[in-house]
Amino acid sequence: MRHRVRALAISALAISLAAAGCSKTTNSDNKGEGADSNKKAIVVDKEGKTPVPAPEVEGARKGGQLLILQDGDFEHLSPQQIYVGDAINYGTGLFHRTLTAYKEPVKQGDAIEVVGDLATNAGVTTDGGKTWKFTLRDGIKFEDGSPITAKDVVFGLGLSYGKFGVQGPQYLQAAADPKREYQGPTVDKGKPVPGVKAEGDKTVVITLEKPEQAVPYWLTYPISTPVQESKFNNEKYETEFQSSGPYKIKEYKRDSHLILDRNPNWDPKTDPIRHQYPDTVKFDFSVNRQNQTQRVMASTGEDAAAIAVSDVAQENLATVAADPELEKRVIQGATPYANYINMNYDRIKDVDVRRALVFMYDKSAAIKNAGGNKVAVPSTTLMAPVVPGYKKYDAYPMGESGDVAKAKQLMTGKKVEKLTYCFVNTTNGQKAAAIVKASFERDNVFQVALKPIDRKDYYTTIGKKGNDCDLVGSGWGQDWPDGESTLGVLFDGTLIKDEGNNNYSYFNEPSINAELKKLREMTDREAAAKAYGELDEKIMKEFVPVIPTTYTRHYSLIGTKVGGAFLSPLYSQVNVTRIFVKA
Amino acid sequence: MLRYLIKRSLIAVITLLMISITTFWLFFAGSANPAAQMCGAKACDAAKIERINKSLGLKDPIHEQYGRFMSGIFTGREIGEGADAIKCPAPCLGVSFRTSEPVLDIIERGLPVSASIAVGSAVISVLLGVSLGIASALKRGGWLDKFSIGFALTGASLQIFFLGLLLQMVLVYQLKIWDRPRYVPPSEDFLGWLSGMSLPWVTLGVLSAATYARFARAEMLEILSEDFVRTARAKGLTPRAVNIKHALRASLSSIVTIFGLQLGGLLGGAAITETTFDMPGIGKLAVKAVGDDNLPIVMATVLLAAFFVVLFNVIVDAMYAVIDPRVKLS
Amino acid sequence: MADQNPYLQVKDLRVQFKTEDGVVKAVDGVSFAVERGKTLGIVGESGSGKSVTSLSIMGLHNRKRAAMTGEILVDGRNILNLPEEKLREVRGQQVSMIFQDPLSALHPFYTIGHQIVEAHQVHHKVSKKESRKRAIEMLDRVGIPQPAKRADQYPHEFSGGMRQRAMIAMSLVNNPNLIIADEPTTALDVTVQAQILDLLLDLQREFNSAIIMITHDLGVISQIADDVLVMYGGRAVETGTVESVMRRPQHPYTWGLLSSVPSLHGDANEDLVPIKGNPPSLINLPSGCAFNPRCRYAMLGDGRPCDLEIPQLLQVQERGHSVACHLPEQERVQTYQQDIAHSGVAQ
Ligand SMILES: Nc1ncnc2c1ncn2[C@@H]1O[C@H](COP(=O)(O)OP(=O)(O)O)[C@@H](O)[C@H]1O
Ligand code: SF4
Ligand SMILES: [Mg+2]
Repeated sequence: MRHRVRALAISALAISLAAAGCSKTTNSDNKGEGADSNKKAIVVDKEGKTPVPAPEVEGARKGGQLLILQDGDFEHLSPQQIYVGDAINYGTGLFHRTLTAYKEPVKQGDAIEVVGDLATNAGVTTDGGKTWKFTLRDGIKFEDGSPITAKDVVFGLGLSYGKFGVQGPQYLQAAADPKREYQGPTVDKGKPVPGVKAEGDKTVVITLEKPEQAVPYWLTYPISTPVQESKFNNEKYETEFQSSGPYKIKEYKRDSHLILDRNPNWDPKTDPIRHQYPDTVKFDFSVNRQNQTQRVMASTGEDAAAIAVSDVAQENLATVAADPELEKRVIQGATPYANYINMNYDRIKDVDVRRALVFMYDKSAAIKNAGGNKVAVPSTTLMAPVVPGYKKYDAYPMGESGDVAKAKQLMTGKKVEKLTYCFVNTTNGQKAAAIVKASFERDNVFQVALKPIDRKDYYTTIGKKGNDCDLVGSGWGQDWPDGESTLGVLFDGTLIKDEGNNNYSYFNEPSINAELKKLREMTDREAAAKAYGELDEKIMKEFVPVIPTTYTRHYSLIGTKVGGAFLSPLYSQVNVTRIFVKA
Repeated sequence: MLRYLIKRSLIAVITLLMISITTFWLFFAGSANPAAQMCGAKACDAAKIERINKSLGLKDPIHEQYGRFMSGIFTGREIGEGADAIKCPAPCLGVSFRTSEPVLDIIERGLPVSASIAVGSAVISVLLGVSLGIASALKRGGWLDKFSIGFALTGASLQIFFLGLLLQMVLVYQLKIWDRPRYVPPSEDFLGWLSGMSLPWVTLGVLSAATYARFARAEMLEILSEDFVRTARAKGLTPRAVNIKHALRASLSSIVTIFGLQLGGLLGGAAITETTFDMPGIGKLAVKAVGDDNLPIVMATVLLAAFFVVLFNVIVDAMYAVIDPRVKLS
Repeated sequence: MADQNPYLQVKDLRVQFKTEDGVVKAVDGVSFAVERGKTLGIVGESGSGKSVTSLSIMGLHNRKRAAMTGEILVDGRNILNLPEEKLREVRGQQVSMIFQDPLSALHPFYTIGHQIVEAHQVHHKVSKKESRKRAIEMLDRVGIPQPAKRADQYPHEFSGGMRQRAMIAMSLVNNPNLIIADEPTTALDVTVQAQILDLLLDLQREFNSAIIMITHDLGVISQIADDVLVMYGGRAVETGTVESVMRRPQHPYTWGLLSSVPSLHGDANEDLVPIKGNPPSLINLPSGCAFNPRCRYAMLGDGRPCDLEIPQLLQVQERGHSVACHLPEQERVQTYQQDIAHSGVAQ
């Protein structure tokens, strides 16, 4: 998903670029933050064994108001438009149910589970992934009491193809309708939704041209949130939608606040994930990062039951970290975001030169620039620690500021032309560029020319095959918890097109391509996860297309009365499905 | 008078037109790329950009987009195509690129916040600044005068974001003796509105009072040396009558000018104030819109800000005519 | 002039202003007196201290800023010692002032009527209506047609002459005993000027007030004044009756002034002959006689007095006529008769 980036907020994550994308991670030294290689990496509940209702949370009580302090309104809460992490986390956690959903681990490092949400299980395929069948649970209702039927799910999915889903994720739509001809049910009235079909009231069938193992994951996005056609109003859609989850909108004042109260028509017996402990949930959209930190630190009055959506403000990081009482209330840990410096595989051909560059980079400077080791830690792998199958390894051991001697050794007898580092011409981009130049030019091992690119043209430029950037910074966060959504996107040479690439190193190794293809097609994702971890290490050991720089960490505060909070490893937010307000 | 109004309105419309064209042009000439912003860095292929651009109407030539925007203001328009079209009645400022919400609704939400800040702080700054300036002019060289000069200098060099953040940090979060800045509509909770607005009011009010104080002092000193003030004293009037009825009255037109400029320009300053105090007003909206490349909102806020400047210029002119019998509106 | 209890007596008045550039000795030991029904003309180039003198009489200087010594006795009371509240009773009531430029001296935002009513109300506990009646009466008296209508107009709606008439009406609304007119006609054209002066004389006769007529124009003096005080560099250099000072002036500066005035009866095309050079700086007066740098007759060098000693204002043979000049009286009389009276040129 996308990570929310605010224009004015001083992004602590300077290395990744100011535009969208990704910027968050884990500490290889922080125990328990990465997935434990001995445990299962991911669990896909094909049989529907996840218990309903979700087991009660220990110590939880009903009542109270949960307050969520946020800097600005959600861009979208209309389900099919949602793609930003905060909206997915709070939207699906509180009012938008989906066909499938993640049951995130309360304990960091435990496996993420893909389960049936509105559906009884995570989806059944009998033909290796071309056809997927989802059966709806009994007793699921919209907030107005009308039952949720397969037709409503199909209508919702249909919306995601057209204007009302244009800003949402497009994986399913692209797989089902590669030519993207279908414009959604409001325009292409009466036409079937490509690849999506209701069979009776209870069954939704997805049919694709090619097998896709990621379908159960894709449907966790609220593109699969049901929408009643009869109630759909294209002018009010953004603010007036029916809830299917434990809370419903009581009052929504755009840019100001959103108040949710209990949805009486949500039945816990149909829901394997969510609870309904607080009486109300209130979002205050006018609290910037500094004030969120201040208020939750003080934790007085209603703020005692508050969640700060933003990370702890940079100026308060040291104070919070130093105060054990406060640190107890910190929700922190690994995120899906990893940052790299891509080395153009066609332009820097010598693997030892690429290795030398890895040794030259000063990760400690990057971390300092990002705001310290609470929000960024040095990375050594391609996949972030929360990616299932993450394998902790360090192919190039060195100090945090690199190893110039090793680099020199690798470079003996080699001569490299001046390297061009391309960066987005923003304050953060410039800072990152300064670190790159200073790092690589140590002892004159390399010469770096800095090439600023206008914000407007940045991704077009670096995404164009054959561009003249030798080095370019980028960040990445998976769109679903699977190596496919990291390695499969960033390092599959067969995906390289003339424009719009995400593989900014233009890494293209037939052996790796073949391996990735094999892994993509594996029906057993739990097994695939492990293999991705191995592949990650292989790529770094043998080919080194990128310099792993940092993993972004999450570090935010909750109030003294907030119970049941834990870090969502997928969205880098406080998971609210088990949340309650202490007495 | 009527002719004056017609003339001024015409000039205002032309001014706003020029500003709208410039803004539109600058937006596209600059580094804006709304589709890429919405698309994010990933999975953002040409096809997706294309779809977003199409949904935003950004594929048409600039002058057509501009024409659509402008005609929407006067005649309303339909946004989007076919069944997905949204009716946007005049004055239509378009819909937000990001949220598809009509910009007018967004502006309507922010305006009371900005207006609250502007009016409240203006009252404080005028009352405080003008009385301080006058008092110090009358007691020139006295301790009050010295204080007021110091105040004017400090006030002019302090920035709202600095002082605002400092006061919030100390008064609200550390000492907890001042209410947290927030906006609630006065119609819903009048006292809450007062207490929520009080810190921005006082901060902004005191800071801009410095400008008024400096200005009122200089103006009063000048007026006090005018012949007609001497005449008033020669008549045997009390100092009070001389200072207030004669001197202050004469300095009103310049004070009103500053007041008008300040109020008219307040939307410009609102960006910083509202960001500092986290107030969901027009200023904060504008800052976010610029960062998001959200053209309709950028246009609307720029035009609104310009509109207020123009409006207050007219008001100031009209006030002149009320204050100064020599001025005829023509 | 001054014998018994003149209405105004100024004795050895000195007014100094401290400024950043130095001390301005604006008035430096000036004495004079005016009786009711009489007119004293004060004449001198601009910057000679005339206005400062007149404002002193009204007590209008800021006491913090202006150092004043000497005595100003208005009806026996020393203005320089009066507290501010008592001063206000004097101002506008016993002594009133007519300023040079009525456009700037009248408040632009209030109607003429309002301003006259205000002047009346300060000193009379009567209704606004009554004050207004009185104001209109005064406007009528000074020759403003349709006074009731004009009372509701603003100063900028009046012509220059009418404005000065209105100013005079305002000054006289309380029947003051002493009127100080500081260059009241300077801003007006010649015909209007004559009318205004006639009006003042009329009113003086009617109210028996004393008038101080300040001007740099000796023509005005000869038309209206009984006595004359000639000021130069903050000092009185010649004083006496109009007859004696105008006909038999003895100070070279007065000669210069006289010859720079086009004769009221003479050829209108006759060139003005101004006095060469500039008036002195009051911060740094020339030593000795302040006029010496411009004086054709100055006796300088070799221990001669004009740049060494300040000449005293001394009584000459003619009664009530005093002159401050080092030239022997005999020589002054002769020089004037032989060289200047006929040619009309002093230099
Ligand atoms: N308030 C004041 N402060 C300083 N200097 C003054 C002040 N008022 C008058 N003067 C100076 O005193 C001198 C005499 O001025 P004034 O009496 O106005 O001359 P005039 O004879 O033209 O009326 C001038 O040099 C003037 O600059
Ligand atoms: S004293 Fe000397 S300088 Fe002064 S006027 Fe007489 S002759 Fe001239
Ligand atoms: Mg004068």
